[in-house]
Amino acid sequence: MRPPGHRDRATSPVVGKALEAGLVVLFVGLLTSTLFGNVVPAYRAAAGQELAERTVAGAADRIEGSVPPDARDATVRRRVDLPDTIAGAAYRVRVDGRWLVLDHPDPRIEASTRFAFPDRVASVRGTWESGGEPTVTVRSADDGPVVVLRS
Amino acid sequence: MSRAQANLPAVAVALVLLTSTAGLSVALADAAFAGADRDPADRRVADALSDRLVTESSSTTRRANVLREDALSLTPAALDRSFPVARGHEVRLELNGATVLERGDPIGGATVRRVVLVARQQAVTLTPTLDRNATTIPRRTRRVTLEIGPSNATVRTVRANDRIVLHDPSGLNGSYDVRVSRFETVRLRFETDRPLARGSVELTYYPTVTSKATLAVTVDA
Repeated sequence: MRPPGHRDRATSPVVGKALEAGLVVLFVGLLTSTLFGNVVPAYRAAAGQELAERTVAGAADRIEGSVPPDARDATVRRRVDLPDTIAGAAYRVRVDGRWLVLDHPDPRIEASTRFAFPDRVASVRGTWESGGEPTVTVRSADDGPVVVLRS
Repeated sequence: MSRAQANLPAVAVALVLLTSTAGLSVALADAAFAGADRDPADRRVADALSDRLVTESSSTTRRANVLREDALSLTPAALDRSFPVARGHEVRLELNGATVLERGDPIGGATVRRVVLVARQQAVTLTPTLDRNATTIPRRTRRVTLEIGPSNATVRTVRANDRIVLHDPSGLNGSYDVRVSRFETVRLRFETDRPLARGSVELTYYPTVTSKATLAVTVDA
């Protein structure tokens, strides 16, 4: 007969390792869930919001810059660079009256700006889908240039 | 059993270190985000508004990039009407550092500065000495107002640089507005039946004095 305690002497490293492994797994799980459940999406949305604002501001600048000086008959066609995705999702840039509005599936991401066209611009319309080939076309009409967005 | 758990404290210390590293990284990322937080909308509106203000078709300019002197004393309501892009923003316009228009109280925001010309139109009246019935307008001008008074001579024709601008066989008398070229010095010649006396013609011209100025447009959301 061995003295008591000698029998479970070999369990001690097993328990120790299991404890350590459990702790590390718990820690990694906790850290991952905090980062990906909270911190990363918030940053993603913040970065997406910044990008959306910049996209709208840049696009509006490009659209306004495509309107040619006062001329009888002029046609302008210009490609515009837009990011393919914002915060990993497709989006849409559309004209609403005299506003340029960015629609994004994430409700935290939104951006819009008012156009600053010369008074002679007759109308502006159209929509850009991300991932296409966004172009802005300016045609002369009887009552002034017409600005159309196509993708 | 406790003898073999000697590396549990080591694991705990490692985890504490990892946690603090993660926390530090998140804090650094936060700082980076705060540093990258620009407001492109403000800058765009300021840029677009300054562009609209100096464009040729604007109500504030005489020609592209030349502002009328009185034009910038706009009321905020007139600014909104003529420049819809400024609606809903706090705006300040400065000309050479002096505020000419302020709506709201833009603190910070984006400022766009442009070098512009400010044109001031004067009216100068002079009674020219008519040497051989002709006189040269000392400054360039778009138009001249001639006041031809009654005198012993009958003025039939007025030529500006040999181009006939006024003609009346029975004699010119009264006030006439004559458009002349802004791009050349104008010499007016009066064709009369006898030499004109000094004082029988008075002319007013409208030279433009332009001065350089910095137009600063500040826009805050």
